Amino acid sequence: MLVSVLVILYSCDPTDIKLPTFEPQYIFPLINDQFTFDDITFISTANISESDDGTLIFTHLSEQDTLRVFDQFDIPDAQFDFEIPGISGLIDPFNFNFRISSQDIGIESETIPFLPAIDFPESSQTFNISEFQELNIQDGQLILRIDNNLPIAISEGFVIELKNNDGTVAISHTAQVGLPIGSSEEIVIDLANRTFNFPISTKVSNLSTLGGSNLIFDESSSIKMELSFENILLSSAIVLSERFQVATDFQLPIRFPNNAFITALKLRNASIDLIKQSGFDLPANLVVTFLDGRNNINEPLQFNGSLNQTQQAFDLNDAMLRLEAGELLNLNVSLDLDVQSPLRIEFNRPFNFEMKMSDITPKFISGHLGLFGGRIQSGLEIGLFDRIQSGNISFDGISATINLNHNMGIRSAVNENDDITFAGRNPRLSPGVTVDIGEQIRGLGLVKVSSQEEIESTKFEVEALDDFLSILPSDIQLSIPWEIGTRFVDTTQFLSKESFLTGQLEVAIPIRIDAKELIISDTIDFVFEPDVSFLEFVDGTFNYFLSSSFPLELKPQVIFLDSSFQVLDSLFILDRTIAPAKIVDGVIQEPSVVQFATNINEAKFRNLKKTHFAIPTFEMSSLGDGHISVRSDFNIDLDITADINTQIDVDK
Amino acid sequence: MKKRLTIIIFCLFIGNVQAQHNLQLQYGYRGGLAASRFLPSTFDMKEKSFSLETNFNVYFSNRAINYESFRTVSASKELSNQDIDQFLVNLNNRNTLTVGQDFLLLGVGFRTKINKSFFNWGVTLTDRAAVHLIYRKSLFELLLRGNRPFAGQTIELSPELRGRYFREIALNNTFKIKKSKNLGITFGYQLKYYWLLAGVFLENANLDFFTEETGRSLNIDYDYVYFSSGINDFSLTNSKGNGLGLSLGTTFEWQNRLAFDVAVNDLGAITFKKDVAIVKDSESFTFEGLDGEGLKNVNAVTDSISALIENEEVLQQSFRRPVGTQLLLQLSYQFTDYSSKENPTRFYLTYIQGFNEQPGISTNPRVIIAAHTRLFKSIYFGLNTAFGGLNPLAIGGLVGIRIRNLRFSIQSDDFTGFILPSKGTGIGLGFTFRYSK
Repeated sequence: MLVSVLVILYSCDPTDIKLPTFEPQYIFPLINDQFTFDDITFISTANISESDDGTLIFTHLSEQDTLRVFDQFDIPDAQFDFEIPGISGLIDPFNFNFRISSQDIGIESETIPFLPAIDFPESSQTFNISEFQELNIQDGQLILRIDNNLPIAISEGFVIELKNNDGTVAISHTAQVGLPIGSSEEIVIDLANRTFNFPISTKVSNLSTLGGSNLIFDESSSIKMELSFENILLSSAIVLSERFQVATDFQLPIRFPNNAFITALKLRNASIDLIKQSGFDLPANLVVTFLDGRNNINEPLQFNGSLNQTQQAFDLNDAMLRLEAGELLNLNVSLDLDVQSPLRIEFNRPFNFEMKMSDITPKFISGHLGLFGGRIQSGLEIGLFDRIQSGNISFDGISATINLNHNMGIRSAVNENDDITFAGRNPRLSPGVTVDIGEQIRGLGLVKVSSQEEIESTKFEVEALDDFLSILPSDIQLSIPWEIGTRFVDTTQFLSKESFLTGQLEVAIPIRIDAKELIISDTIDFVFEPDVSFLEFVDGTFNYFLSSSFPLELKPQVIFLDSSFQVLDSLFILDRTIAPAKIVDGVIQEPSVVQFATNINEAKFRNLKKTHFAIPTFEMSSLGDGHISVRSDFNIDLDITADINTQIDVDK
Repeated sequence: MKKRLTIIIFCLFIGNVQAQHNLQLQYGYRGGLAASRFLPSTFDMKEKSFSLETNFNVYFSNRAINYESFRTVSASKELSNQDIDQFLVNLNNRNTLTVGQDFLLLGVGFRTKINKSFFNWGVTLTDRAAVHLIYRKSLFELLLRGNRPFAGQTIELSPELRGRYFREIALNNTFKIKKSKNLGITFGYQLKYYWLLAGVFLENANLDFFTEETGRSLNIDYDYVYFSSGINDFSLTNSKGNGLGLSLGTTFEWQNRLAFDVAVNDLGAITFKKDVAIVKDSESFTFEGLDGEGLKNVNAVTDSISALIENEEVLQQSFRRPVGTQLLLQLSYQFTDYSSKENPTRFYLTYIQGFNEQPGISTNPRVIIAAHTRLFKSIYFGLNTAFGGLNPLAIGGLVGIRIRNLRFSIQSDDFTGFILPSKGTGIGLGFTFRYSK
């Protein structure tokens, strides 16, 4: 083997041999594209139906938007202040009496011919009020009344003192004048800001009489004193009490939105904050009872708190509340003081609370819900033609239906005062072209009220849709207003957590089109330059085969573009027209079949070498007036082949 | 690129070779151990008791270009379109290229006498390597003329490849089974053990290419099974498998002048067991042009092209192939009796028929006429002309010399191009050394 190879190579070095220029001819497919009705449109055959007159009807449902109506019913926080009454600080008048009789100085009932001046010994007595240990008086009077029932006059200068339990003098009064026989004197002492500790003792000193004669003493001969505390307003007191209770009723108003009149709320959860605004420390329990509420085990709904904490939070999970007059929660608040005597009461610092009910999330609501609503945001792809580049196309008799579906057991409607809005862009058109749309449908009279739990359908003819469909949008954002509830009080309404509202738009478009210079195109990645240096293009032909069953006149063309979508060349220099296919009674009788050949010379080939994209286009126009029914089996089959002569020069 | 393309075109056009049979060795060394490989019963030590032999033979020939054209091209350093056209005209639809060598590393012969009968014994160690490629004319037409001329036609491009390299250890034995005054019958056989080194087989492969009449579609269908052994881990010393073989032959001689030899060679099979890879695939791919899906469709095309080159490897531990059985019938006549004092001249008529296509073996029948003579008792000269098979004409010859017990010759099965340049389309070359005593 080695020898034979050596023989050959010795005789001739193959690499030194000049090979001839070969001229191979190639024929091969370039483009095989179909423009079927299904391909040209986004319409799937599942959405196509045939009407009585044979017209195809494209029915398209928008995306369905679902919302839970419950989430739309927002219960606001409720808040109110209350003050616990019943500890006013006003106490009833009370008095103490004591008496100094003649027997105290050794004089019995008798007639004494002459009596010299007498100094009475000091006299003390103790008084008490069982409920109080200490009184701090904000305002009030002490009235000291002295009756001289002795048969002799009392000299001035006697002193009356009230002493607290600790021996300090609370009040001291010195008489400036004497008391004649049978006279009385009343002295008023202001008690503001005075403090008394019980028991209180009285002390009378420096009491004396002038002398006299023929004085008749009997059993009633005495000096009588009375201490009356009147109009007493306490600032504070130390009370000796075993138990006391204070209770009162309040009403907590909840203002619902939408003029709702809610008779009952079943709560998923809610929180109550009890905030102490003022009040002294008092070791008492605070009990708040919802008079018309039940907890999750159907017991009376109440919570207990401490009176001394500034803020306390409570849950009302799974509570059931009934409301009076559609908005009022009836509460009972009580204080229950059980032990801890003696107890200091500060009457000038009343208990004042703020109660806040927040984060109210209901499970269901009974009552008149009022009217509330929103917008269903949905999407719709209604672009009919995928490969439309430009042109005009109009449709016949488009109708749209709004479907609302709910399971709330209450009335719903499309908001009569609002408009259905559409907005969208179409990036699917030929590269670099987008179309923005914004459309509103006004005054359609869409109100349709029903209490049935069924799909509500409102069908309407939409001429306005035709406007934006004519520019062939693709992605459309759809906004459907909705309204729920009634304008009148109907307490049989309710909302539950399973209350959903769904909405979508259904568009029916009869495929009867009137096309004017409607350009359908397709963009194909297309590279024509051979990737071998020794293969050279000489000349050739592009053969164009087309079969169309569209009943529209076609003007075909193929545009060649470079990588930046700049047009390099086109296949046909002159316009070519392809007659419509013959359709009889909607049946294709004879498709249009044509074949064109285009010479590709070297200059054209130089242009084609830069091609990155080829765009076959068809300008479609209806012949005559009127709309043409389009069938799903309409199509265009396009084949383009290359038949080229080349040269292979391996020396290159 | 140019170098590669030029060499490929050049080699494929000139390299159209039929199976070679080392004909002049067979004719020039009749009775020798190496020569008896194709006709076992012709092994005859005669009055010699011991011999040593070695022989080397390579074969390579073509059908599409004759030696004259080859010389013209070599001289002008240029291939014309007419040359290419002529090459294509000369090609069959299905063409075979075989390149191979047989290298008798050592042959030892000796003779024994048992019960008054002589037995010739021989042991040979031979390396046999051959590559057998079948290619289609349409492949070159497609490459050089494009697919336009084939529009509306399905063209077959499928190649076939068989290649193997093995070491053969053979025990030769001949003995006369009848000897009378006029008639002698000699029976010979060879027992062979094959020691495999490598093999590659692409058989029954189909590769069809169709161009729709208007060029609107191109289609490729293919299926193949590829076997190989010893490719990834080739070694001259490590066996990749083995096999057993048998050759049988009988020679009828009439009055020591007229002889008829019949032989069946290489009955047996070889089994590749190590470093085995078996790959198969079957695909059909149609391209009808790019459509409007743009890149998506390009990817689909790319996927299809990928599918063309992807294949399925079949896990199988061994495969077996026949060695390649041949039938040889040979009639020869010698004008003088055999004697060392004579200069014998002998004419041959040989018919060869292979039973299966294997490297170095062809199923195309071949007929050869040859003559061989000795001059001055020490110079050997022979000529042969072969017809049929894949080669229309192959003229070969032998030149040798004997010096005492040593004999050396150079032989060629085909040197037609050197004497008839316009007819010569191939070449074969070998040499033989023999020592006998």
